[in-house]
Amino acid sequence: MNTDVTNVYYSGLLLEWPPRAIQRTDLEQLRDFSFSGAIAGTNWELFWFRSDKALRPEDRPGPYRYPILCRRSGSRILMLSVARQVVEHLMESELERVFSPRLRRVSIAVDGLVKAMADKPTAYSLSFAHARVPAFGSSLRALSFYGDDLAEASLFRERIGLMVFFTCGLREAAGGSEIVRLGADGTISFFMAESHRVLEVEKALGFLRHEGYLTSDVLAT
Amino acid sequence: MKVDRQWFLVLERHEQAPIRRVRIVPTLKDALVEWGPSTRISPIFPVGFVPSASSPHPSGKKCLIFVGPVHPERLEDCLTDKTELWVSLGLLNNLLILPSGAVPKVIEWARQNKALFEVWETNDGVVERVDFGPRDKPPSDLLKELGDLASGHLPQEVRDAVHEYCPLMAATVSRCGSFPNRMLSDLRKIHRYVLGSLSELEAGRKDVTRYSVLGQLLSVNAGLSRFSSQTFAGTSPISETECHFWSHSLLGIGVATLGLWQLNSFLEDRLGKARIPERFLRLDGLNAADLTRLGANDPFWSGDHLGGVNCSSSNYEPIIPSLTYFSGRDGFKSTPTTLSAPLACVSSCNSPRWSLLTLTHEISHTIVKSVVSELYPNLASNQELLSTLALLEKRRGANLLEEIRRLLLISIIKMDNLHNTDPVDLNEESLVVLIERWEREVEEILVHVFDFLYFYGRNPDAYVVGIWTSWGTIPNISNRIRDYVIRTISTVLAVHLPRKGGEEASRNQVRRALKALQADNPSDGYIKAAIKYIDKHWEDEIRSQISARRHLVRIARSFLFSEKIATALRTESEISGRAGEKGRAGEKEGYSLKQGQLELRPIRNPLHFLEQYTSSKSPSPAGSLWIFYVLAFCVQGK
Repeated sequence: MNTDVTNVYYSGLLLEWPPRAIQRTDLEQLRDFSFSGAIAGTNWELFWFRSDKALRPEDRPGPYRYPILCRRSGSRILMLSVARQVVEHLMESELERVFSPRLRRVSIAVDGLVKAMADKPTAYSLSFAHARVPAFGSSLRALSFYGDDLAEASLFRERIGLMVFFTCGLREAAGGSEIVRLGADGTISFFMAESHRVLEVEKALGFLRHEGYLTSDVLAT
Repeated sequence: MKVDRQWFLVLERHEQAPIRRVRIVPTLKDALVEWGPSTRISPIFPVGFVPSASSPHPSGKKCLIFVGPVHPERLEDCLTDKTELWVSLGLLNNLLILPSGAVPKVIEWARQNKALFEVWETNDGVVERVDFGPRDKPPSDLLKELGDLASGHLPQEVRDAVHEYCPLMAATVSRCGSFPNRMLSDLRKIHRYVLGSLSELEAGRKDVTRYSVLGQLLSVNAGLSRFSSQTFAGTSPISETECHFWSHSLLGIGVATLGLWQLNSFLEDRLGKARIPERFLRLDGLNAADLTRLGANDPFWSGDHLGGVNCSSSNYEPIIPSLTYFSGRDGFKSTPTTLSAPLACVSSCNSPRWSLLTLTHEISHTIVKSVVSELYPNLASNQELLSTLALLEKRRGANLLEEIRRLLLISIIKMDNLHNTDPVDLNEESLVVLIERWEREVEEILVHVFDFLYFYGRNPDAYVVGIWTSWGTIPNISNRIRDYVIRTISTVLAVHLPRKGGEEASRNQVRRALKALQADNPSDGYIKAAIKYIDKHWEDEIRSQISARRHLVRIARSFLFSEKIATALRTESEISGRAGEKGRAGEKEGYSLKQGQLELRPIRNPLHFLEQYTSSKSPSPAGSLWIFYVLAFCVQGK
């Protein structure tokens, strides 16, 4: 595995393409996009995307190379890079050209997840949560919580009904650092200190899928 | 799917021969210069392409398929390189122009998805053949009830109105088969309301007269007539269903109506069903201290009294009106059954002046009116008037509801005292005069604070912009500036009540917001006049008026507002929380929606959506169409 891709904070989106399973060859049709290899012992794939335009603040002239970390699973794909803007750029330009109908974001029911975890502890604990507080309007817009196990604190649980969570972080209840941070709009990010971190992220996403917290943004009617 | 600027679809009948001709023109002027007696027109918007203005359109052999009401993204599989996709505000909102070979796939899709469709085969614009799909059967039980009502015995005063109502309702329900089921259920609610009013009349209820029922029927008929004409014009056969909103006479504005109805349904779900008037009445089960003596920072004022009341879900009568329509004459207006928005919203609701958020003010009136009616005595009952006078003599009411009633009466006396050199000698007669003189002002203050807390999220800048911009559409506003200034500062006082010098803080906040509004709209003289009035008359006039309204503001803040209800009303779970970058119109707070892009992405709170996206300085038909598409097709339940 290319050592360039560790010790990096990855951020991106969970996407879905309803017509069929997404193949590696689909991604290889993207312009300036090249397959680098799989991450050893995992089903994660690394691509490199070349861009003449800076897709995040850069301190040198282009062209630029951005790592794109992908995990395909049936009609869903998790695409991550060094900045979320890189994936958004791909969505708006390249992916729309290759995938028709367009790839859709998969929403994560963060509010439901946080409230369920506060109600009934799971194998994961909350390491971070950010919430809007709609009742008080501009007087009090949002709250952020940090800790090892937020739901354990009564202060957090007692006023939870007034909060609407849209970002949270998960860690294993047994300990360790934060595994993954989730956004209601399908944003996923994590720090990859070592390559096996992707397996922990994958397991956490499996938990979300199993518990029904992932929903496509395609409307039924 | 990017929407481009509006074009116009024109249909006209040949004067001599039974031929219809369709054309697409770039401007209204192009349509008007060749206008004939049968000409009808509707704005349409190209999606994902820019049409050529130089060549006649449609030319050669083409098929025009109208499909709706569906979001265009759902038709993606039916589109090919040779398809032109246009959208409109009509109920058959998608217009696909394509070669005849591609037609069967679209028809198959429409049949499978129970969408309405109509096909025009054209040759150089001449419509050679028309075909359209089936429609759901109208509900036979409702038609039977309408038949029974029309043929039953009716008092002469209401007979004509009922005879107008029955075929109008029959026509409406028979055409709304492709609408969401809840819309038919709302029409049933209106029918039940009509039957209920007539039954009350028949039963001889004291407060129900033939003319009060006639008034209710006329208001239902007016709303139903506009709703039906605006929504179902442009449904099959399109050439035979004309809309009387002349700039949309060909296809109607069914999608706009659907959007308005979705917004209204949301308000009913989140606010109507919270049953504020019912909860308020149950405050009579709580003890209270003398509210006039409680300190401004007493924790009692910030408790969620309404939220703590237990409300059972049975026997719920909807409080939010069910029938929505657009009206140039009625503007923003609510009655027990109808809610209207100005016609100008159809092409300008992407701007603050014609924002659909103004509807919240009408809804606030509906709820507050219902609450306040429980606080006043029956002015025709001497016994109730005497009890009210006795309550004023007491130091403390028997329960919280009585204390609120006492606080309200004290407020009225305070406001009235500012206008009299000698205090009024209170007796049954003068109490009636006093209440009648001030009930409108009381309702306005309570409504404004209610609107400010629940809908404007306590944001003085947003509130001042919203309310003062919408007032700009009122003729002769200069006569009302004094009242509006007092109302606005009193409202903002709701967030400064515990603060020493709260009146001054409110004045400063309102003045600052008005200054900012004036800088954005230098030609609006009424804003300048409002600032001048504040600067000149704060000490000698405004300050005392605001202080006299302090108790009213408190009543709304502490007993009409609930954190629990506000959380349900203002929650939007489909936001990511990313703050929108200034100047980057595409990304508004939290939503991944992009203005002008027709994308089938869910939103759950149309109020939050409107707050974020109705800030355009230049009203535009395309921008407004985009807002109606999101409201009509992207709003999901909880």
